[in-house]
Amino acid sequence: MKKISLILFTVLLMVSLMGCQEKTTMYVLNWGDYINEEVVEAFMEDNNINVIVEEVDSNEAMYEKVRSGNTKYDVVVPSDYMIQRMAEEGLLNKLDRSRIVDYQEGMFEPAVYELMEESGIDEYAIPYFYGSIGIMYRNEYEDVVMEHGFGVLFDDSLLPSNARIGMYNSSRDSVAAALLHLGYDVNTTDSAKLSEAEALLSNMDYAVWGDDNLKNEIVAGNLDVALVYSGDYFDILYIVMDEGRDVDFGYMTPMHTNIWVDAMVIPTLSENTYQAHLFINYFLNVDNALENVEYVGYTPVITDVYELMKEDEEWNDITENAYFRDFYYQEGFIGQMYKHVSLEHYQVLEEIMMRAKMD
Amino acid sequence: MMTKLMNILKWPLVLVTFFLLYFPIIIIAILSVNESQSAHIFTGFTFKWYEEIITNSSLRTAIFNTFLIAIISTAISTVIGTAVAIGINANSKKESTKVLMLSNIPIVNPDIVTGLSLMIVFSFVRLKFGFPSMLIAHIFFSVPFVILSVLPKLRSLDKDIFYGAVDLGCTPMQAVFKVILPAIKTGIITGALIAFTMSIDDFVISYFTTGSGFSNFSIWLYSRLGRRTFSPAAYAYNTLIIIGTFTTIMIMNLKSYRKERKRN
Repeated sequence: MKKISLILFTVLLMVSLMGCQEKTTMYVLNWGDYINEEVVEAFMEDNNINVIVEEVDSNEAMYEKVRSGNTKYDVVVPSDYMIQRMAEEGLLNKLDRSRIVDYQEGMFEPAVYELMEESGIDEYAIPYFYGSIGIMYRNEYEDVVMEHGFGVLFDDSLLPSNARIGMYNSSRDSVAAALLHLGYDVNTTDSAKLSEAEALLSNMDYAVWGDDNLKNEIVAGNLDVALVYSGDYFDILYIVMDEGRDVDFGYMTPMHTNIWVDAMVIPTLSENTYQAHLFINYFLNVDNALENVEYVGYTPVITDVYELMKEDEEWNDITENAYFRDFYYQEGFIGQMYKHVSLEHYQVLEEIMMRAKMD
Repeated sequence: MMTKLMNILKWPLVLVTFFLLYFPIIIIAILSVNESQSAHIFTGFTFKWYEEIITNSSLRTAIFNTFLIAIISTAISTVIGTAVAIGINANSKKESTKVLMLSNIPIVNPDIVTGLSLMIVFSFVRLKFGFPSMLIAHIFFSVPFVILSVLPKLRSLDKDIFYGAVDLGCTPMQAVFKVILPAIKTGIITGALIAFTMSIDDFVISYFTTGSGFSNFSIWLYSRLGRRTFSPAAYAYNTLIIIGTFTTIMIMNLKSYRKERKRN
C-alpha cells in the first residue's frame, strides 16, 4: 500500500509540476490546420515566449471556450459575426494599436476592411484571412456560371435538367445565397424578403445538401455546381494541383456576395495581453504573413502580401486558377458581411431551410 | 421449415454481418495507402502517410498524448478499481449492492452528461484544464469498468480463502497481495484492457475536459473536420491501431491454443 501511495504521489507531483515553466506561455485558439507552425516557432524563438495553439472546428466552439474561461486564451481567431457577438457580450479587449507597431492605416484590402469598420469589429480585431461565398462549378458550366452567378443555384432553366446542384447545409449560408441573388441584405430580418428567399430555395431540387463535402463531390464529378466557401475551394484546389491531376473545376465569386473574415482578437480574460499584441503584430510583418499564406493558402488580407505574391512566379501559376481577387473580384463588386443575429432570427432561418428541404 | 430456411440463410447472413463489420475497416486501410488525398480516387500505392505520422508534429503530439493519458489512467484506475472491488466484496451483501449501484451509474450515464458535469466540477474547483483534467476524467470513467470486471472473479473465489491465508500466518495485507490478487489476476488484466481501450477511444468526455491546447487524437481529428481536408495520416494511424489489435488477439489466441494442446 505504501508503494501505491508513493506512485500516486509522484504522479500527482509530476502533474502539478507540468504547469510550471520559466517562460511565459500564451494560448492561441485557432481553426484546425490554419497557421504555419514554422512561423509560430520563429515567433517563440524571437520573443522567448512559449505558444500553445489549440484547434477547434467552429465559431460556436470558440465562443463556448472563450466564455467558459477554463483556459485563458490570449489570441483567438473567430469570424466576423462571432467577433461582433463576443464584443457585444464584453468578452473582448479593444486592441491597443500603439502596441501593434507594424499596423498602418490602409494596409488591409479595402474590400474586407471597410466591411469590418462598418460592423464595428475593427476596434477589436486584426484581420487574418478573408474570402467570399461563391459558386464552385465543373468547367463545362463555366460560361453559364460566369454569366448568371448565384442564378444557377436558383433558376433551374439555366442548367440542363440533368445537372446536379449542391447547396450548403447551413441555414445562414443557404438563405444568404438566396437573399444575395435577390439583391437583398444578408442580415435582413424583413419577413417578406425572407419568404421570397424561401420560395427560391423551395422551388429548387438540390441533389445534395452538404458541408465541406460539396467540394469533393464537384471534383469527383458527382455535382456540377454548388455553393461553397472560397476557403473550401482553395483547400481542394491545392490538393488536386499538388497531385498533378487536371483542374477541371473552378470558382466564381458573384458580383454581390458575402465576404467572410477571420480575425485575431484578444479576450478580456487574457493574462498575457502584451504577448498577445506581439503575436498579432508578428503576423502583420510582410515576410511572416507571406510565409503563413503560403502554408494556409487562403486569400491574404494585407495588400502588400498580395502584391508580392502576384509578382512571384510560383504563385502566378495559381493566379490562373482564380486565386487572386483581381481575377474573381470583378469591377463593381459589392460585398456584405454577416452580422451577429438573434437566436430567434436563427430559428427563423433554420425553419426556412427545413421547409425548403422538405419540398 | 424454419430450420431449413435458417440452414440456407446461414452463410449469407454470416457474410453480410462480417461485411458490415469489416468493410469500413478495409476502406480505411485502403485510403491509408492511397497516394491521393481525396477519398474518391485511387491514384497509386504509397506508404508516405505512415511516414507523416512521425513527421507531422501536431499529429505526433496528439497520438503521444492519447497514449500518455491511456497508460497513466489505466494504471491508476486499475489500482483504484481493484481496491474498490475487493472492498465491495468484503462487505455484506446489502452494503455491496448499494456501492455497486453507485459505481454503475457513470457507466449508464451518456458520455456527454459525464463530460459536461466533469467540466463544471473542474472549473468549480479551479483545476487547470488540459492534461490533469483529462487524466482525472479518464480515471473517473475507467474505474467502474475495472470494478465490473474484477468483481465476478472475486465472487467466484471461495469466501474462506482469505481467512485460510490469515490462519496460515499471513497478515491481512499479505493475504490480499499474495493470495487474493494472484487469484483474480485475469479479472484485473481484463479490467485494465477495457480501461485502456476506453481511454484510447474516448472523444466526448475528453472534448469537454481538455484545455490549454492539450488534445488527444480524436480531438485533433475533430478540429480538422470543419474546414480543411485532413491528412490521410489519420487513416494510417487508424490502420496501425487495427493491425496492433489484430496481432495482439492472434498472439493471445495462439498462446491459449498451445496451452490447451499441452494439457491434452
